[in-house]
Amino acid sequence: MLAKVSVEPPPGECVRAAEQWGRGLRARVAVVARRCHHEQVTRPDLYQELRYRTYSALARGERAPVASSLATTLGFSLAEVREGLERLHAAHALVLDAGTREIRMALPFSNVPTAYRVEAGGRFWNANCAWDSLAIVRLLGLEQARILDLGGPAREGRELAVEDGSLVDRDGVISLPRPASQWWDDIVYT
Amino acid sequence: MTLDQCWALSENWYAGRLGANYERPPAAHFQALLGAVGLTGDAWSLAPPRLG
Repeated sequence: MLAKVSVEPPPGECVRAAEQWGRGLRARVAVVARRCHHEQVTRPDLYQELRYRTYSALARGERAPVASSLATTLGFSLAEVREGLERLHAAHALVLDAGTREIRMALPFSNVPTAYRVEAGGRFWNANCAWDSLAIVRLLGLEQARILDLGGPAREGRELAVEDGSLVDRDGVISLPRPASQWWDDIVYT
Repeated sequence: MTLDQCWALSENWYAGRLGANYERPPAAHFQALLGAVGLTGDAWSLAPPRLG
């Protein structure tokens, strides 16, 4: 049975990238709906839906949907949704929490509060690290934004400004705990 | 890496990430992105320590 999928574009001027993806996905879903009314939706469509639902929520500044919510929304069983999330995790398309197996990251977005935030237009987004903060600005096409590093036990906080789509102050360095080829050995630690 | 390098990388590192048919590019793609901003050698893979 084809899952009924409501695909509405995420609101707001700051989700341009998600909207572009949404337009492409809407076209694809329409084709699938016409062709597959009595056929099972293919797994690749489920994977795309899971990613779309996750990224569109995070791009709106909301939390990513939990697996049970995705199952209800998309009309799949919880087991199928969890299998889909695991496949996406294995492909490094999403990152699941080690314990709950719910979505922890959809890079560059973090689904949990962190020390790194991007603020713009009355919304904010959690980033996984300083680098992902910059990437969120790029991905959402933010023209004006504040990038906040709230600091930590051994690190002072810092604030950066984005004006007219460009990073104003570029002094400083970002430290990463391991070389790039090892980032995904433990992406949460990285 | 410098903040300047990071800003430059941020433009392309996640390019295509929101694409409907996203597939993670191979390692060489990311190595090229790092190399384009001057991050080569240890930035990708630390060389093993030389003994003796």
